[in-house]
Amino acid sequence: MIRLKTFEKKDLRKKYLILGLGNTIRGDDGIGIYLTKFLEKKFFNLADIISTEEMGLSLLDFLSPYEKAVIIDSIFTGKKDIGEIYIFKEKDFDSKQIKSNHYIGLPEISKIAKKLKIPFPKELLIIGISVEDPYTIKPELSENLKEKIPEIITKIEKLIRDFLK
Amino acid sequence: MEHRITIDPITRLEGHGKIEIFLDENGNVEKAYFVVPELRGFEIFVKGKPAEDMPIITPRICGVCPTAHHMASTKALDDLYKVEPPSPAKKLREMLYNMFMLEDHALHVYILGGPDFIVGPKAKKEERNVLGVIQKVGLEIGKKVISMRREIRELMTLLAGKVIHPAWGVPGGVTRGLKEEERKNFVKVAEKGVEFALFTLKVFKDIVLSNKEYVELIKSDTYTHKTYYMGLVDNNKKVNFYDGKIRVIDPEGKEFALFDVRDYKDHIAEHVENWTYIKFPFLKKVGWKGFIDGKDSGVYSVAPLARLNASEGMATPKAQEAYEEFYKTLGVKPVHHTLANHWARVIEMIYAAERFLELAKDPEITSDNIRNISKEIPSVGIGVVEAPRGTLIHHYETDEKGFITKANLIVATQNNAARIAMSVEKAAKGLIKNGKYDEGILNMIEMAFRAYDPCHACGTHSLPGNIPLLINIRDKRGNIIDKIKNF
Repeated sequence: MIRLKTFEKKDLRKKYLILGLGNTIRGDDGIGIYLTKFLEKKFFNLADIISTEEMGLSLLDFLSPYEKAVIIDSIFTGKKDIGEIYIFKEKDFDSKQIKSNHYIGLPEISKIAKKLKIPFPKELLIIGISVEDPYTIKPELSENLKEKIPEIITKIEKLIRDFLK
Repeated sequence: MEHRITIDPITRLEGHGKIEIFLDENGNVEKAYFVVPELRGFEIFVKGKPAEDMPIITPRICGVCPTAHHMASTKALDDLYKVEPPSPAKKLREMLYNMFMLEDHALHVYILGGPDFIVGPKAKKEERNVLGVIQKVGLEIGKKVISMRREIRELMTLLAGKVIHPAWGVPGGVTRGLKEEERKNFVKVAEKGVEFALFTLKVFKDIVLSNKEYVELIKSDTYTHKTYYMGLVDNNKKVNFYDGKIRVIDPEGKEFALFDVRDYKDHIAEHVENWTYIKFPFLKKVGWKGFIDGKDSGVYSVAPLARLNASEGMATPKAQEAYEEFYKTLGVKPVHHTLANHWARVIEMIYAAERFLELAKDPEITSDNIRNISKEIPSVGIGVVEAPRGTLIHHYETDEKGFITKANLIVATQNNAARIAMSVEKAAKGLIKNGKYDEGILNMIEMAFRAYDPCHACGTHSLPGNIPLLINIRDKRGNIIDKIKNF
């Protein structure tokens, strides 16, 4: 079980957010949450790092106060490309249909925020990690995905640093 | 020559689902299936786990109604360890639970189901979403919806540790009470909640009930099934989300059963079909007669409409007024119109808010007496709550050390599964004629089940293993006529 961080006091909040999504008892679906554990060591002085198993409209509460946000989640492509990294920006959601429980409503959340003048990150970087099995109920990642973690971290660390510059 | 129309993915539905509609050579519907491709294997996963972990594990079935699982699980532990929580703990639990119901119902009314009615069933697909709702009801109301949800969720976090996965309910009570200095804020938010719920009823009346076309749609045969109804009721047979007995009424409104959840196996059995992983619960004493309605069929329904039908009223004043108006307007009880679920949900929002307020003001709510400790050896524990989507039962069996040996969950969407399947097929048959249909019509088929607010992330947890990536569709003779990949 991974402890989740919340930042209730505004003065403690940083400008940037790294948000890991997933469900750690649903096999590879937990990759976003596992990765935030590693990223915390690398970005603790630059961004708030939060993991959550929430989705849809609830994500607005997490994203709202930040200038920029990185979202990390599993993505199931059905191809044999485990550990492959897919990058999306907010605009991609209008044209791409992404098979993830957690993305449901993300473009709508952004539009709601704009429409209702609720603060929302000016820029989002969505990192999808291609996984083997996000559906079996088990509390660990598949072996094939575990092997790829060092490589994934190296790649996404660079992506996040470039994005948060 | 057979034609197939596929509506996939079902928009704005929690979890995954697919509808397959088969047309005959004349372009009329021969059969429509509501397929649930997701498989969870939860009961297998929890075997060998300490029972006291269940209120933390089970909410993780899905991110949609974790509080319902947390509470059903906690109550199952009370029963397992044969320990009655002290009155303040029960009140705290019920208060948190009503906060959750209010917040969850609001989400459905405005965001998931609302677009069908508030924006309109025949509006363009790109307009039928929460933005369309905001457009229709105005920015201020949109802000109110967002802020109301946020305020409730903040208080739930304060009390239960987390909104999504509370770490709060324990056998015989709760881990944290409410401090007197915190109460003021709970009362304030509850008062706002009542105002918000009453306002939602006004929105529903102004936009939905004042529109003749919508009302006709609600009452139309396409969206009508005469089934049994099930819901939890208190000692006065009024709706209660947190506790009580399970009451079942027949399609004519007569009480068919009133039982304690511990006896659920005497009343509920499950039927399996080869085209879906979801099991179809039915009333054991009536029997499974297929996907048909009427008194001779054991198909029953849960969720807001069923709860109202299965009760004799609401336990709070404004909700009772709305309840009376509901039956007076529709002119009959029980109401068999699936789409009336949306209206029933708004009435339940009022009840949840009023009950939240009553409990927040209750002098006992800030008591320190929040837990009784059990000294019993565990064996079997069964708990029930009314989840937003209907009756939710958790049944655990353990060894003498309290490790799970068997777990069975009957979730709300399962309870409704047979009626949802019937609704989808009936809607398809009523709305597609001679091969003619448009996007609005297809949305209206989706509407048939969206009214139930089904959540399939936890509806198919009862078998072990992986998600099947292939679905076989069979004809009446059981022959596979199509194979569908779900990616």
